[in-house]
Amino acid sequence: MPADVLARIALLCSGVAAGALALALLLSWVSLLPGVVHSPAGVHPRLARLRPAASLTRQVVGGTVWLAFAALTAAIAIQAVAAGRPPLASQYEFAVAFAWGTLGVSLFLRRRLGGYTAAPAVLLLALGCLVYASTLPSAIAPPVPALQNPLLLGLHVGCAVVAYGANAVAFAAGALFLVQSAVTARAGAPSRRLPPPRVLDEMGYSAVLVGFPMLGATLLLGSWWSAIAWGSWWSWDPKQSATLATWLLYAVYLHTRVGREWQGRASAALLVLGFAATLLTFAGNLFFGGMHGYAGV
Amino acid sequence: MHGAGGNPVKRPEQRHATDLATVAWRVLSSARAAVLGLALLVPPLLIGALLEQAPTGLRGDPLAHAAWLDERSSDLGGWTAPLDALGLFDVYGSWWFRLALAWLGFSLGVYVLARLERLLHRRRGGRRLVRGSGRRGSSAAALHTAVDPDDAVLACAGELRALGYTVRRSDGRITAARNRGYGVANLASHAGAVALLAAAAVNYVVGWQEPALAVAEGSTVAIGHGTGLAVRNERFAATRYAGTGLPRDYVTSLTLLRGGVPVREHYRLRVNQPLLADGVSIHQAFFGPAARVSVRDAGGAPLHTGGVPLTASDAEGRPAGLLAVPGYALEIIAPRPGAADRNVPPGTLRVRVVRPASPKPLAEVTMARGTEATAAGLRLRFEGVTWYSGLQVTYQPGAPWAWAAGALTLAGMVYAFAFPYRAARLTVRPAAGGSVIFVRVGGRAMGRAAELDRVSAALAAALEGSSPDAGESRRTVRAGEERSLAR
Repeated sequence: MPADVLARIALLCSGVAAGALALALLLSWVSLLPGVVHSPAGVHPRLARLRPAASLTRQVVGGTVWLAFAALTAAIAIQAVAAGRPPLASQYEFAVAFAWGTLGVSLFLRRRLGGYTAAPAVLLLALGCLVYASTLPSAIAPPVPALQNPLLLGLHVGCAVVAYGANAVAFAAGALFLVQSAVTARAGAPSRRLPPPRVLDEMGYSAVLVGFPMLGATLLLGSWWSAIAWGSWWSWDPKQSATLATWLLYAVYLHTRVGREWQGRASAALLVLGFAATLLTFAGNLFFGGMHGYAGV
Repeated sequence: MHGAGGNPVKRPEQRHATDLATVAWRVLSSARAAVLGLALLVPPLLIGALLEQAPTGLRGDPLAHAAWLDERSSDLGGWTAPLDALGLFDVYGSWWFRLALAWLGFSLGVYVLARLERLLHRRRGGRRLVRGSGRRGSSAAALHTAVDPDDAVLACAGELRALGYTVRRSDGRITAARNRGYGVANLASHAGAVALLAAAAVNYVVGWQEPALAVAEGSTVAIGHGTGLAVRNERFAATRYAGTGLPRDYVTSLTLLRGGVPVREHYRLRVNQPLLADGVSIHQAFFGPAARVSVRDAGGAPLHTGGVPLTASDAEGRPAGLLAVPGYALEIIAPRPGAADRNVPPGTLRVRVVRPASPKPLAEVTMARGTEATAAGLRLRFEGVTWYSGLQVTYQPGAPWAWAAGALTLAGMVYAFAFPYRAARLTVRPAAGGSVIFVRVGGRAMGRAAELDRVSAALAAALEGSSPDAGESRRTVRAGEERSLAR
């Protein structure tokens, strides 16, 4: 099948994923409305009569998220076939993969955390990635000579995709934790329509445990590739520096949380800060300049 | 039976500082100092990423630096001077950034030494199975069961093993530990970070880089730096994508010579295919046009034959290159592509002959392709136009060590954070109608209470399963005997 036809099919799959995400997002926000409880542990006893509606909403949200993830997986796979390389060479391709990584890490952690997710925030982030991708040229660009290393392109940028996705999930957990803190300060108890603060704290930590080594691997593989293609293992390229700063922020988070037992708001604030650095690193292709400039195409 | 989770016992100050050195050692070897070192690096790195940094070649060249600042001022306006005064255009070369790096390296080094000393001390004093499950820095709970003490010890030991603990029993006591590799992983991660910084320092001190070695087709250029190596550009080819005009591939057919003898011939050098020899790596970096020129002295003796890379530009923006021959320097100027220029028309080459270190030209001639001219007694011939290949040559002996150290750091950190050390100490005592089991869980603070819950719940379930009367005992316990030791 011609590459341009495959690329159009990939674009269609991304569109299906965006639609599914929009529906899931809508339902997950509806589930936050008073009277609908979003918690796998069940509903508040006083709202027990709404249990079937809440359960159905959760199931529909879960199903549409899986549909979105499957559609994005298909989009990425088809784009890879069409391009004849890992589809991670442009800002458009990375934005789509970023959404995929965010959903993938969220679904992975959901199993580990007994069904809890930070769905409203995670879905918003994933959909945001796809909306941003829709503003970028999606045509398959042939790779410039520096990018003609499929193995390292796949490994280096693939690790970044998972890391960014994990950081997004950590941010979602941290942001919802801060929301829960605010609710607790005002109402005396956390909202039952969001996951409990303890779960959000654990979710953020678990996500960083995925993202931190992946971002470290991104740096290491990037350094190796840099030594091959650019002749320098470390060149203080703006993207390199921003990635290192992001990695250090998460290292501070882990050290303070594990060693100093920082938990709660301070840890959540660090997760928000870490994701701000992640977004800066991601969007930096557009204004950093330096040797990663071609990735902003 | 039922488990009651307790709050972690606060760790009090263990020792009083006796002198300044002890205080300094304690501060520097603390995780807090290393974390401070990590945090201190974040702002300069972000500044360096956001603010375009001056090329390192401008250091020590005030005129070039001023010219570069002039260019920046068109974007930054009045901020340029204060930002420059703060050193924010050269973050990575600034004393404060190097100080932050040194602080990180020093605190990490002291941390590693302190942990190593502790590890060796522990080995000299006989290896203990369990540490960190004493009253300090642990969480505790009590379990009540109808099972008799001997059976309870057996059941608890079995369950702890099932939970991944290494178990030792003695006289109604159980000591157990899990993730015992934590200490080594923690040490390895920090030692790796120190090694990475050391490797970077080795690269900085011993390594070198030749960032722009332009070699015209058919020319040979020495690499220098005492390597005895030289490269000859046999042929260069660049292809572009149809439509977009973006570069598709650059390939140089390169021959490497050691002491004038070819050691690698016609290597196809590409951007992702560097040539490695004697620890030196040669990379395809850029390319451009070159003018083929021959130069003879007044007696007809050849001074130069071959290409002159046009890597620079003259004041009018024309591609230009410099050729040094004995006693003279020749500025070779080519016409601007696609521009009408009366001084250097298309198809010609302008040569300006000067004395080295003297800007005043001795003579200036313009030659058409395939013609000869004489200038300042030199006989010049413009043979034609060709390509030069831009190479980057580097010697980075610390790079493989840096990658290995980075991988060690990463692996150690992942293990240490994902599998924190856990210790458990169980004391089983006879009680009315069965036994009471005091459970204490220690190790890393994070998740300790959750681990106590997990262990207590698993032990309770195991004890229930080991006695037919356990269910009745559990109800009795729930009525009033449940308590926590962590107060």
